[in-house]
Amino acid sequence: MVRLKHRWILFETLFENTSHQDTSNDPLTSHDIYITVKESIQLNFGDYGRGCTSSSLNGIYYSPHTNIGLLRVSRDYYRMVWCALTFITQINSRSCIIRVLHVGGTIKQCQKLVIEYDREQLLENEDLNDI
Amino acid sequence: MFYDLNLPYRAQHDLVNQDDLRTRVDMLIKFGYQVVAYNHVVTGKVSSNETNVIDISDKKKTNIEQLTRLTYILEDISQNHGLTPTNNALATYDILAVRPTNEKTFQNACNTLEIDIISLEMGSRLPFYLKHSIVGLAIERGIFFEISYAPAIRDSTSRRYLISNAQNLVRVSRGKNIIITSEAQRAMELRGPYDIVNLGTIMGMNQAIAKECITTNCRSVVIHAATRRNTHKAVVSFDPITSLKSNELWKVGKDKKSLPTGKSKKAKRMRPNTDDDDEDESESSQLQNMDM
Repeated sequence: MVRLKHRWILFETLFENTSHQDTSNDPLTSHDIYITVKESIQLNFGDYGRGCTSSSLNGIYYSPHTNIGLLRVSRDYYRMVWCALTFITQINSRSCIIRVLHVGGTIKQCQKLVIEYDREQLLENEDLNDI
Repeated sequence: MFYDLNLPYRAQHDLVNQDDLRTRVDMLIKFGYQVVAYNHVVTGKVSSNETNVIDISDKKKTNIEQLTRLTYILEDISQNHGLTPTNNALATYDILAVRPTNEKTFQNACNTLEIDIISLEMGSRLPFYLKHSIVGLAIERGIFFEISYAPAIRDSTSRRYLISNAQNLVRVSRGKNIIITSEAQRAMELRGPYDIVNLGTIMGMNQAIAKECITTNCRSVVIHAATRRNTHKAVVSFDPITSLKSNELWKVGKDKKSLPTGKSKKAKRMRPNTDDDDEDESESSQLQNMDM
């Protein structure tokens, strides 16, 4: 039985201007991220890269409030996609950095990590507000 | 412990748009780096009256350790006579690096110069070939080679050359003695440590070696630099008593007169408890009295 195995890449986007996303602009969707990643793969790895990843690449989730997103890739080419993510310099002409938080085999592990990460962020913000 | 040993201190040319140092360091702290080195790049003749231009006294951040680094761009071997251990001005910088621009200076740097890092211009075609023999010699001497990743993020021609040169370097050095640094002019060119480890894997290293490039190898560079600066032929080093911390004072002995006052240097551990109060004890006798 030949199963197509995936990797789930959990990432965070950091924008240049403000620490939180400016909600007056159009909020980003997971589709925007997916298009940017595809463009980056085309730019850095060419048609070969697009071919390897086209069947399995999928933008699953992105939250503009916490700047966290989830991407699904096939297990054999996740490093290529990870490099493409590292080389991204802007999304929708807004300068940003993508930092990968976790690469996991199941979506549940990533979900656990998102909850932990959000909790840490909330605690940090609380501390800052108290001060 | 993640290190970033190349954060440019001053813009190279006027056209380069460089972010404030503070923005970049804040970004590094956010990504989880623990040590950063500010890099001052100099061309021309190595002189003996360089003072440390990097001012870290007003940037007190407890989250990150800050070091200073000097990079010399070598164009001609006749200019290199100042790069010796006796040059006191160079000792004010923590780390010493060199960027050779032709084959002769590269050979000189690998064979004879007393430096810590050899930095190669990765964003464009290297003007000389890297040979196993010369690179091997540098590795034996404990010198590290630097790969900077920010040029790859800036534009796509540099990206091609970076991958090509980096793969070449990894092949020639067999993955040893390589460090990866940022050389970021702007905060948006920095990347998280695990992203850099992944970039290392496309340069031909495996994941363990790539991670070493930003952790243990960088630590080796810092220690190599400290050995070069502070010790005499890597054997003996002197420290004044005032540099001892409060829980290390037992090393000096129970004699209360020998507690650090900031003025005199006394170490009367071996002598009986007498009232001698000589102020001008020289460092060499201090060495005799210290626990050796």
